[in-house]
This record gives sequence, C-alpha cells and structure tokens, in this order.
Amino acid sequence: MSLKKLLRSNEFFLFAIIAVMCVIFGFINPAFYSVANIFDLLKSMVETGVLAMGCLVVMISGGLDLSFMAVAVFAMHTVSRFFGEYYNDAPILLLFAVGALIGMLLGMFNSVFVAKIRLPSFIVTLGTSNIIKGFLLAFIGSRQINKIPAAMIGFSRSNLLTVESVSGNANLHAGVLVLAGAAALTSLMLNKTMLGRSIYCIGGSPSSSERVGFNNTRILVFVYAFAGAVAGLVGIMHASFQRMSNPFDLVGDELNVIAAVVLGGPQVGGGYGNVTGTLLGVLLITLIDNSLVMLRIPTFWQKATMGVIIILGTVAQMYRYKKSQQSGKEDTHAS
Amino acid sequence: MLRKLLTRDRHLTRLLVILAAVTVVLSVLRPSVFLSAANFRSMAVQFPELGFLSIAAALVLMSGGIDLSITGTAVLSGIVAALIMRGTEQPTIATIVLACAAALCVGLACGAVNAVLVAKVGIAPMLVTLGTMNLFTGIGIVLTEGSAITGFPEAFLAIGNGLLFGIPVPFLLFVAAIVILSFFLNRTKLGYKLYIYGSNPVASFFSAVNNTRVVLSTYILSGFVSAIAGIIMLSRINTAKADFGSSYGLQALLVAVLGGINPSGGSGKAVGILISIITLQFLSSGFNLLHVSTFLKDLTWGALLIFVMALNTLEPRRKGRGAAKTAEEKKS
Repeated sequence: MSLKKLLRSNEFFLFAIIAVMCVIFGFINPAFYSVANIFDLLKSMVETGVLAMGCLVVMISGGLDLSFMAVAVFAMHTVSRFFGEYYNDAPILLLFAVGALIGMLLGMFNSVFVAKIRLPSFIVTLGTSNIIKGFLLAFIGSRQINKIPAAMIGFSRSNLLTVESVSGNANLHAGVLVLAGAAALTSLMLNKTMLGRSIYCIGGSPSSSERVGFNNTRILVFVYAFAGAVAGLVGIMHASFQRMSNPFDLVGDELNVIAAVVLGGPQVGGGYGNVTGTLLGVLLITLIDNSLVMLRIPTFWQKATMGVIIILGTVAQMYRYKKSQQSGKEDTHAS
Repeated sequence: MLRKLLTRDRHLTRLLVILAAVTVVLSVLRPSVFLSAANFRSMAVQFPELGFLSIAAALVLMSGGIDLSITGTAVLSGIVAALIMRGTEQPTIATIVLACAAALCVGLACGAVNAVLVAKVGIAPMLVTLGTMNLFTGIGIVLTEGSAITGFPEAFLAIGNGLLFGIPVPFLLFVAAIVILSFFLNRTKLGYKLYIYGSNPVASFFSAVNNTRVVLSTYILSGFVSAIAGIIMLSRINTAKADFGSSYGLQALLVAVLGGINPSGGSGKAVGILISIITLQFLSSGFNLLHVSTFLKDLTWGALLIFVMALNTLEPRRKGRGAAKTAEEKKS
C-alpha cells in the first residue's frame, strides 16, 4: 500500500483520532499510561472485540446481526447451569467448545431464514433474538447462577503476565489471547481463503457471486454459524469475568458492538471492512467507555460522547468517500 | 368490498386471522377475565406508547430507511417536559402546555438532526440513528445526571391515565393517530411521495419528486411522533429517566414489520400497525391471564414475526415459480 493511500485510509483516520485522544488523556491524567491501565483497557476490549469479529463478517456479507447478544447469553446461561450442576470440574476448553457449539447451532438457526428463505437479516435476527432469549428465560432459567463451573472461575484468575509496580501488581488477563486468536483467525479467513473472499463477493453483489459459481446459501450458512460460534465463546468468557451467570446481562448492548464495527469502516450494504479497522473501532469505543472515569468526567457524559464520536466518525468517512469519488473523477478526466 | 380488501392484502388477512384465533382461544379459556371491561381498559393503557413509537418507526421504514433513535428522542422529549414542570414552583395548565410544546419541539429538533445527516450529508440511516440514539439518550442522562425525576401535576398525569367516556385517553390518542396516519398516507401529496420514494428513489427522482425534501420531512415527522410517545410515557408512569423504554426501540420495529410495513420501503398501511400491536398486546396479556411464564411473550413475538415474514416471502415465490412453469409449458 502506498503512503498516500495509507494516509487516506479509514484505519489511519481512526488511528489518528485514538492517538490524539491518548495524548490528551495522558496530559490530563498521567496514570493513563500506567501499565495497569493499559492492561485493564486490553481486558475490557476482549468481549466487545471478539463479538465484533462475528459482527464484522456478517456485515461484510451484506447482513446485520442483532441476535449475537441473545446467542451469547443463551450459551452462557445454558453452559453455566448444566455444567455447574452436573459436571462442575469440566476443563475450560470443553466449556468454550460447548459454548461455541451452542452458538454455532443458534447461528445456523438464523441462517435457515436468511440463507434459505432469504428474509432480510436484520428482521430475522430481531425475531430470533426474541425467540432465543424468551426460550432461555422460560425454559432454561431466569435466575442468576452463582455456582458456575470451577474452570470458569479459574479462567477469570488466569493472567498472562504480571508486572509489579509501586501501586500494586498489574495483570494482563489471558482473555487477551482469545481476542488475538479470534482476530488473527478472522483476518486469515477473510484475506487468505476462498471462503473469505466469497463473503466479500456476496456482500458486494449476491447475484454476481452466484454467477461466478459460489454457492451463496452455503456461504451465508457459514457466515451466521461463525457469528453464532463467536458469540457463544464470548458468553462463556462473560460468565467467567463476572464469576456468575446473569441471564439479563448483555442483551440490549448489541448496538454498542455494532457501533464499534461500523466505526471500523464497513459500509451498510456489505462488501467492505477489515479486521484492523474493526479492532481500532473497538479500541476507540473502549477508550471512551473506560477513560472518562480516569479523566474525572462524570460517567453520565459517556453515552452522549459515544454518540458524538459515532456521528463525527461516520460524517468524516462520508466526507472522505465523497472526496475520493471526486478525485477519482478528476483522474479519469486527466487521462 | 371486504372480500376485495382481503384478497388484495394477504398479509393483513393473515394478521386478522391470527388476531381472531388469539381472541377466540383466550375468550374460551378465560372468558370471565379476558372479556372483562377492566382487562380491556388495562390493555388499552399499556400499548399506546409502543404504538406511537411503532408509527414513528414505520414512517421511516416506508422510506426505505431505519430509525433506531426513536426511543432516544422519546426519552429526551419526556425529560425536557419533566424539567420544565419541575422547574416551576406552581405548575399551572399553561406550564403543562408549555412543557408539552417544548417536548414536541425537542422531537422535531431530534428528527431534524437525523434528517439532515441522512438527506443532506448522505450517511446510511442505520449509522446515523445508531449515533443519534446514543447522543439523544446521552443528553437525557446529562440533563437528569442519571437520576429519575418524579412528581408531576395531576392535570398532566391525565394524559396517560385519564378516562374519557370510560375509554383510556392514550388509546383514543393512538386511534386518532392511526386515522391521521392513514389519511396522511392515502390522501396527501407528501404521503404519496413517501410511497414512491420508498419503492424506488431513482424513479421518484425522475418523476420530479424532491427526494431530499421527502426524506427530511419523514425523519422530522418521525421525531415528532416519538415525542408524543415520550409525553404519554412520562405521564403514564409519572417518572422521567433516561434509560426508560430503551427496549421499545427494537420492539417498535417488530410491531411495524409485523404490521406489514415493508422494511425495504414503499409499502405498508396504517391499519396494519393497529392490528399488529393489538395482536401482540392480546398475546402478552393472554400469557399473564393463563399464568404462563411471561418470558414466553418474547418468544411468541419473535416467532410470530419470522413466521409471518416467511409466509409473505415464500408465497409469492411459489406462485412466481408456478407462473414460470406454466409459461414454459406453453412454450413447449
């Protein structure tokens, strides 16, 4: 990528905003740059970040998933309840696998309507999120579970590295590995495999993708199963971080994750977006979420700030898009 | 006439059948409670605020856009009205009128912000309203510093809780709104242009419709209707808090789509919204009466939405395939 192109890219723009914010935050409160704070920030990114990967893939395919939080809660509560009661010392990898499997099945349930019947994805997932959450609360349990599997509590204490400092130890949580893994895997899948390229293709134009010879139905089934599996994984992590499973958590915060993904660049309608941009979007949202307290700004400014940043971000994207269209036209005129 | 209507709009027919089935089942199972005036009165108080939000959502859906910020607008308008009423020592009728007017102005302003960003700057409606949803709710949180405001004059509370000829006021307001919406969509130029724009913006542009103006008016109108929902909500629960009603946002979309509003724009009827929300209200009251877990409400609402949408999409496709087949047979 040429330097000029890099400077014009959405990722660079996001990076610039984040850098400016970091400088200002550090100026107001030097503790912002402490190892403890940076580790804390990274840990806060984990849940949103992993969810954003699933959300990103769906958005690239031209859809919109509103059900991932319901899927996450469903996987979380089901696993916490049954493993907590019957197999309390299940290894963490098994719990993650079961969570992801439950999520994947629920994602495939979405894909029946999206890929087979071809209903608009946001309507389908609006409906299924109600179905999934209703089913969970009515048949699996609507009470908070404190007795979650031991391995989950163990996971909440597992630290990757510990840095000693004057103000106590700073711990980097192992969940960061999950985020890194999910991001690397998603990026690899999107860029280096035929499957990944076909997802961009469907998002760009479903009918051309069919004509090129892709099996659209199968690809969309994969897309929603992937988003579901990722959400299931996050469900397990959420219960671990909270050390309990509350079925009323998460649902309702869908739009925050979608906002992070949207800031990262994909356009509604599909065909665009990448992992780097999404991670930067997640970082930006987490920064705002986490840092207002440090800056001694009352937390009730949080939501309004978030709104302003989303609006400014999208306006700037639009502005640069229009400008690039114009300069594109000039180029063709010149030649 | 009725027959013509039923065959013309299969979606509405289906909804009516579902509504009739729900009514019959509940009347048979719990005749004394379900058919009582008290039950109907309590239902008629519950749904109008969601109903108004659904109208707001439906207007934007008809233009082919989507508005996620309606609850933000409603809550913010409610909070402004609440602050005005609590700010004066002896609130009189004039204060209440002023408060309501201010709330409606806030609604118009919120709608205008969305409208400008969508129509003038050209950002996708979903992104705009995702941002403004946070912004409007956020301003509400800042204004109330995150706490609740309560205690409003009796006269104001009458809007949400009063009875007129034995019928709850919010219900009357909602029915009036549906009639006005129906008139707007069928008998006014703007309503007609909204349909044309929603079904095909390019065609409407070349038919000399001022697209920008249609989009601007749609979002502003949606903000106005959301503000009415905000006033009713404030009056009914006698409390203003920024996170009230946040779950209504997606529910309003559900009601609108279930009511036959085409989410990709261009079609939908006011009556559909009315039938859809009454069906959903009957269902959730029904679960209460039958002492079934109230959480089943979510499940059935979601299932109903997908079921009806799937039927709508599958049927014309099957018909289309049949037509293609006969054409092929004729050829051979």
